[in-house]
Amino acid sequence: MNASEATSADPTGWRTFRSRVGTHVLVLRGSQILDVDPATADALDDAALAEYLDHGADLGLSAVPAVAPQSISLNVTSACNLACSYCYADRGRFGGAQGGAMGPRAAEEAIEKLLASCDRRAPVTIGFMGGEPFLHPALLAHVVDYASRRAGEVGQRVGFSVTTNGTRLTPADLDLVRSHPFAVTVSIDGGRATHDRLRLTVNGEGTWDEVLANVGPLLAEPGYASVTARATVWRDDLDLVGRHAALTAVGFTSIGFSPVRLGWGALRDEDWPRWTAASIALGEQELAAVRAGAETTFDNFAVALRRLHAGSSSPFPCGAGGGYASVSTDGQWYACHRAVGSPEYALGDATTHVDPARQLRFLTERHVERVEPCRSCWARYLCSGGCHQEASTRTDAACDAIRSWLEFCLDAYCVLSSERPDWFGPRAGGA
Amino acid sequence: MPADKLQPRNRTARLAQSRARAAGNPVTTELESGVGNCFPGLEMDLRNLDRRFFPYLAVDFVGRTIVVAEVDVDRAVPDGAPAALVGALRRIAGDTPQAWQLTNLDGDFAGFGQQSYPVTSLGTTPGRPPDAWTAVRLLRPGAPVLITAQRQGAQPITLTAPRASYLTDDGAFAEMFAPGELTQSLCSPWTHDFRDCGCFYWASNHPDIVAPALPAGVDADDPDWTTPTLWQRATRTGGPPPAPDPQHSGEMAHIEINSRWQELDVVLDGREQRDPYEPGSVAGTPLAPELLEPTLRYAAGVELAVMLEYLAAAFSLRNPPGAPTSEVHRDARAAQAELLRVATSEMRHLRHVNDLLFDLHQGPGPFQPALGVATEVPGTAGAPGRPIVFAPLTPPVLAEFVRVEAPSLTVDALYSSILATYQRDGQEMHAATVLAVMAEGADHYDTFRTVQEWLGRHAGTPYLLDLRTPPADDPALGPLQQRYEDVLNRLHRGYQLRGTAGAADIAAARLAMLGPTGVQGACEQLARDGVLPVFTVPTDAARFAPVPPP
Repeated sequence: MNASEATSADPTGWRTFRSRVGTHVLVLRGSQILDVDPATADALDDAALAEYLDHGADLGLSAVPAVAPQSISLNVTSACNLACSYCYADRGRFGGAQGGAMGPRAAEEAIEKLLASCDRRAPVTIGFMGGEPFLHPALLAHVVDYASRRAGEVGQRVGFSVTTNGTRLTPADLDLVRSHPFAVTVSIDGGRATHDRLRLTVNGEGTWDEVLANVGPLLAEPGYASVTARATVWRDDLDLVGRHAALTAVGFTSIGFSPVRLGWGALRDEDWPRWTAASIALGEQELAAVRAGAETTFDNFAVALRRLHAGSSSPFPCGAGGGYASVSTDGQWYACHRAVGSPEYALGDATTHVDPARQLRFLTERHVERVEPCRSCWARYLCSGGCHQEASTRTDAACDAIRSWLEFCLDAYCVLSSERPDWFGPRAGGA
Repeated sequence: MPADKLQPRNRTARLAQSRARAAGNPVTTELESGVGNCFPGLEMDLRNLDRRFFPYLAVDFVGRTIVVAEVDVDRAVPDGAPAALVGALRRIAGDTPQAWQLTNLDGDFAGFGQQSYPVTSLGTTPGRPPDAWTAVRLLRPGAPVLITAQRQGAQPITLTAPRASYLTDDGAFAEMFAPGELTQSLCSPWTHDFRDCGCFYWASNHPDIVAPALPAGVDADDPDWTTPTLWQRATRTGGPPPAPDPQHSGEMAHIEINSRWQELDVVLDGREQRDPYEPGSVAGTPLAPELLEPTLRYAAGVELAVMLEYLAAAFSLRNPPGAPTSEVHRDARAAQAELLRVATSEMRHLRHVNDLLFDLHQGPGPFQPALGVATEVPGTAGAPGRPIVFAPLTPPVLAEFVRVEAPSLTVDALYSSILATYQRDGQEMHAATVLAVMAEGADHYDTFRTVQEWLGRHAGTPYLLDLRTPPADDPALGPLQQRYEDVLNRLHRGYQLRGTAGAADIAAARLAMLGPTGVQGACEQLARDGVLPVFTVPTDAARFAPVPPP
C-alpha cells in the first residue's frame, strides 16, 4: 500500500460526553469509547489518554491509502421506467453523460480488472446501478454467471448488490438474486400515499402495489439474498416513525432512510432540526425495542451502533475512488456511481481503469483532515464529511443534524453495550 | 492523571488498552514470554481447533457426546455453500441452542480408513478411535465428511462438507476462529501430552522428579525419603520409598495418564503432598510499635540505596548497541537487562514502603515521604552493616548483591520483622504488601545467582567496561545528578499526595528515569565516556537526608 500524509490538523483529539449510563470519552481516532467517572472527566488531559491517543495515531487515518477497488458498480443501463422528481441520476442519463446500455464485453472487462487487482483475502462485490438495472436482465444474468465462474476459477469470493425500484422484477429475476449472495436494495418510500406521491411511472401512476407484488415473494423467501428498503425522505414529509411502520408492516426487516439534500424536496436549514427530531424519535423507539430483547429493523440505527462498537473510523465517508469504483455503460471508470460523466470524478477509461495519479489526487483533496470545516469537527472520523456529491449542502444546520444523531447513537450505544452486550454478537464482546 | 479511572468500552478502546503495557510489568507478562513461544501449541487446547472440524458448525465434546454449540449460517451463504447444507444449517440454527447432537461420523479417519462410526461406539467398541474427539482429530482435512445431527423428537439431518481447514493458505488461523477462541483454554495436561511434555511451564504441578510423599511419623530429613523419585511413576503405593528409576521405565504409559492423572500428587516444596499443607512462616519477630515507622523509613532507604548500586553496576557492563557478536556480549546484555529489571522492582518496593508509611502517618503536618538513602546496607543478623558503594559488577560485587537479596538475611530479615508486626496488629492488607515485597526479593536473589552463572562462564571480566570511578563532585556527573534529583523531587510530591492525586507526578518520575532523556540516558552517556555512574545525596534538602538504621 502506498500512502502519503494528508495535512494533519488535530486540534481536538477527544471529547467527553454523557449517556444514560454514565460519563464517557470519545477518542476521535479509532472512535474509541471509554467510561470515566464524572470527577475524573473534568480533569482529563492528553497525558491521561496517552495510550488511546497513541493507538489512534497508529491507525494511519491521516494517510491517503492507494488501494485497488474491492467493489465496483456497473451502470448497466441508462434507462428507467420511473420518473422520480428527486432522482440524482436524471433517470440514469446523468444529464446526457451516459446513454444506452452496457454491453457484455465492457462488463467482463471490468470484472477481469477487478479480479486481477483485488485483495484475495476479502470478498469482492459487484453492484448493479442504473437507471433501473432490471430493465436489462439479460446482462445482469450474464454478469452474475460470468463473475461467479471467473471468481471460482481464481479462488475469489464474490457477492453482488443491486439497487432497484422493484417494479420490473420477474420470477426469473427473483431466482437470480435468490440463488446468489445478493444484497438487494429496494427504493421504496413507504407507506402507500407517500410512495405513490413521487415514485411514479412515466405515465404518472403510483407504483406501491406493483413493487410489493414483485418484492413480496422475495421477502417471504429470500434464499441467499438479503433485502433492504431504502426510503428517500423529502422536506415536507419527515414522519420517519410512520414510514418505518408502513414498511415494517409489508415485511421489510431492514429499512434505511436518506434525506434529499439536493434538488427537488431537498431539506433546508430550517428543516434539519425536524429531521433530527424525527430520526431520534424512531431511534428511541428502536432502542426501547432492543432493550426489551427484540431486534431493530431501522438500518441507520443498527449500522451506526455496530460501527461504534467496532470503533469504525475513517477519513473518507465511503469507498469512492479507493476501494470502490463505478463503471459507466461505455466502460469509463468513475469514483462514484452518482458522478458518472463528471470529469472531476473520472478515474480512467476502459484501458487504464484506475489511474493512480488521478486516484491519489481525488482522495487527497477529499481527505477529511483537508476539508473545511470538517477538519476541526469532533465527528470527522464518524461522518467523514458525508457524501462527496453533497459537499455543497454542508451547512451548520445540516452538520448539527449529523452531530445530534451521532450524540444520540453514542448514548444508545453506551446503554445497549451495558444492557445488551449480546446484541453486538458473540464475537463482539470480551476484553 | 488517574489513567486507571478510564475503562475502555468498545473494541478499539479495548485493543488500545490491551496493547499498552502497564509500566513496570515484568517481561514474563509479555506475549513473547508465553509458553507458546517456546512450545507452540501449548498455549491452547488442541480440541479448540477441532470444535470447528465441520464447516459453519462449532461443536463441544461433552463426555461421550458431540453437541452443536454454534451455527454460522451468515458465513455459509456468502461462501456459496450448497443449498442443501444451508437449509440443514438453518434448521439447526433456528432451534434451541445445544438441542442438536452429532450422532454419526462418516469419513476418512487416518489409520482407520473410510469408516462410519456411531458416536456412541467411540470408546466402547474395540478397534475404533477411543473417543469422539480423537475420531474427529483423525479426519483428513479437505476430505468429505458426512455427519448425522439429531435432536429429540425430530428427524435426523445429514450434512456433508469437506473437513474444514484450520489454517489459511498463508498459514494463519482460519477466519472462522473468533479472537480468543483458541486460547480460551490452555493445553490439556490431563491428556497424554503430559507424558512427554518437555515443558515445565507447569513447574508447580508438573515436576519430573520429586521427593515422595512422607508417610506418617517419618521425619522430613530422613534420607530414604528425600531421594528424588519419578513423579509420574506407575506404582504409587504409600509403601517403602520408590526405587531409583533412571531410565524412567516405571512411568505411566500415555493412555494411563488419561485415566489415572488424578492419582498424581500435588507437589509443594519439592515434595508430594497428600495431607493438608501448612506453609511455614517467613515472619520474624514483631517490632515495638514505636519502631515500625523508623524501620520502614530505613527499609525505604535500603531499597533506594541498593537500587542505585544496581544501576551503577548495570552500566559498567559492556553492552554496545546492535546484535550481540559474542557469548560475552550476549551474557553482558542479559545481565544488564536483569539488573535493570531488579532496579525497577526496587523502585516499586520504595513506593510500597512509602504507601505503608502514608497509612501510618498521623498528625497535623503533611506526610513526609521516605526518600533518603540508607546510611548503610544491613549486615547478616548481628553483624554490622556496610556503607553504600558504587562499583562495577566484578564477581565480589555481584556476590555481595546475592548476599543482600538472600532469603532470611539482611534485607529480607528487615522485612520479616515488619511483616510480623503487621500480622500481630491484624493489618492483613499491609502484611500482604510486605509479603509481595519479600517474594520479589526472593526473585532478585535467584536472578543474581543466574547472572553469576552467566558471567562466571568467562575468564576474567571481559564483560566489564574500563570505567573510572569519579569523585562525587566530578562535573561529568552533573547531568546524571540533576536528573536523579528531578526524579526524587517528583517522587516526593507524588508520594506525598498519594493515590490518584499523586499519579501524574509518579508517571512523570517514571519518564524521568527511563529513555535517553532520563537517568537511564545519563548513565548510558557516562558509560560511553568511560565514567562509572555515581549518585550523591542532594545536599540542599533535608527531606533527602540519609537514614540510619533504627
